[in-house]
Amino acid sequence: MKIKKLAIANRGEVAVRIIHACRELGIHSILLHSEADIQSRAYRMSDEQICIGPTPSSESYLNIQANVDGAVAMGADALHPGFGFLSENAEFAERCEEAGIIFVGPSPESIRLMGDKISAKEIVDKAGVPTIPGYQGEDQSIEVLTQECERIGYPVIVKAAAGGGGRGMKVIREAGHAKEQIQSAQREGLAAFGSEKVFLEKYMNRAKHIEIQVFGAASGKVTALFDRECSIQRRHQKIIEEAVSPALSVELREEMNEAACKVARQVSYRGAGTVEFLLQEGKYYFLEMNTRLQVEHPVTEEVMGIDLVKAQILTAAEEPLAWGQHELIPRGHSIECRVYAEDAYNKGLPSTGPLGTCVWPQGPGRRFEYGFEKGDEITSFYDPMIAKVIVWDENRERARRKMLQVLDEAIIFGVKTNIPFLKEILSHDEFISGVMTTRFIDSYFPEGLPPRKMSEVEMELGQKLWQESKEALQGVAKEQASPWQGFWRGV
Amino acid sequence: MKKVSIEIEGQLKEVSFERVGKTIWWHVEGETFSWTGEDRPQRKGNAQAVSQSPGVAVAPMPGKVVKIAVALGQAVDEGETLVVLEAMKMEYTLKADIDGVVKEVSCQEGNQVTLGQVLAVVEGVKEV
Repeated sequence: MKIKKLAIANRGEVAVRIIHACRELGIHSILLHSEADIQSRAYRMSDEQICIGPTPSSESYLNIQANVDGAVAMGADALHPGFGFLSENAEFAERCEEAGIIFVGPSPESIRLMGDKISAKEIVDKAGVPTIPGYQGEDQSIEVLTQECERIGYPVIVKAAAGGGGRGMKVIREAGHAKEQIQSAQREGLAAFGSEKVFLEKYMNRAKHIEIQVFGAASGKVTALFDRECSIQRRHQKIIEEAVSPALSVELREEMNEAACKVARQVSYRGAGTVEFLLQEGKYYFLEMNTRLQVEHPVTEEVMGIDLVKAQILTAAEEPLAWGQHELIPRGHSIECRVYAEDAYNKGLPSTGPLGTCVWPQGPGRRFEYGFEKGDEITSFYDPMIAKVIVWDENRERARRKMLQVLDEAIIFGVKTNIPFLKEILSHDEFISGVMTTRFIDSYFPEGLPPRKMSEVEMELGQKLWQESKEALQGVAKEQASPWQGFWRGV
Repeated sequence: MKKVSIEIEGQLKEVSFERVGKTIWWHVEGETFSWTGEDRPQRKGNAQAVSQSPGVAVAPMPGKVVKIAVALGQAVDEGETLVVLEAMKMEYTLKADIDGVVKEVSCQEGNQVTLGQVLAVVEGVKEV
């Protein structure tokens, strides 16, 4: 079953990632985009484009009908959902298939079973893989939910049953906040996923986030592509990820690989998926399975020497994989940093506006995934992640140092970014030693970075540059004496 | 983007800079700075819209009001939730920074609000 035209139901850097895979496979790419994203790199790079709705994602990227109609109208024979948006929506996968379009991902049944976190837990129990104590009942009254919090014992985490990506998730530390936090999670769940159903579980406060990349081949065979560690999270949103985890012994790694495969086999999993675990005191507990490509897939690609996106597309076309389990051995170390458009020195508040020049400093073992360039607008309508920086090196410490160097050299003008924060994290003793837990940010950077004032020298430099740029705009004669001459002597 | 070499404290450094709208951005030695308009320059990341007056809750970013947790005239304690905002799909809670009484609620649930907009005002309890 040859795929000739592939529709991309996504935006930003992941849309660009899929376009690269299409080009390399000789597949025609069709971007299904919102009105706002006419100004984006994916729009410029894709072979064809069709607008599927207005800027708010509820009317475009989350609109099943609009996406299916767009793909059909453009004659797509397959559709890649990327991550986020409709990537884990079983109805969307079904509707694509009904329209004769191959959905690049697992079957609607797999998505449905693993997507509802309650049925997922039942499946994992059946596979004999440990889960975290909690409440997954149908009674969703606030009285029962608060009672269950008491039974599980604080701290308790409340999660939207249909959630993901940190949305609709709250930690309740004491009884007094239970009602307020549960209702907030219900509202976020309703707004983001259309369901206010929540479930509760014991909050693991010294745990590492370890996840196993799995892949179900067209033949049905499931392989484990080893682990990633994503313990550096803020409000349950990952910031820095790496492969492989610095915390796993050979035996534990093997055991977790096998546990993840068992879970995937339970649902006859096909394509790329991730089984997430919490690891505390040498014991691991199933967290959830993401039935899609992950944001952090590049670190696995780097250490395994594979291409997950091409493998996804080829598997959807019933073609065999280029690898077998015995050939899969991780090599070296890879780290990914998510660059968010936010003010690192002001509690990470979103920063929006048109992008200026961005410089991604190329070099050996450096990879940049970005969806926006100079002139593109960063808006508050979508996720604040504007790019991912990925490095590979021979070991973890070299990769860490390389990342710091790359972040020093990278330039993003037009919006503020979290790069200063990323550098602080990468330089922290606990990160360097590799023992960090998911509590890392809350423990060491609860308020992000403190505000900082510029020095006199820096302020004078700013004023000079302002003057220079103003004169350039006003077309002042070039012959004029440079304001730099003599100014910086003796400063 | 333009580049200049400048001498700072006896060392030659390369500065990349560019004007985007009314803001000048520059990058030197691994750090990015910005300065908007004619004011004194500020290090990248300085607060733009955090209220300085006690009791006044302002929107720290553009977003949508998803919940107003208090009513006019209601007594509130410091730390009590006033308004919940949603931006970039995350919720942000604005809390009372003083004990007092809600004197003004200047937004409605479902409203789109702008950066710096006053959302609620708490009047402190007067010492007698």
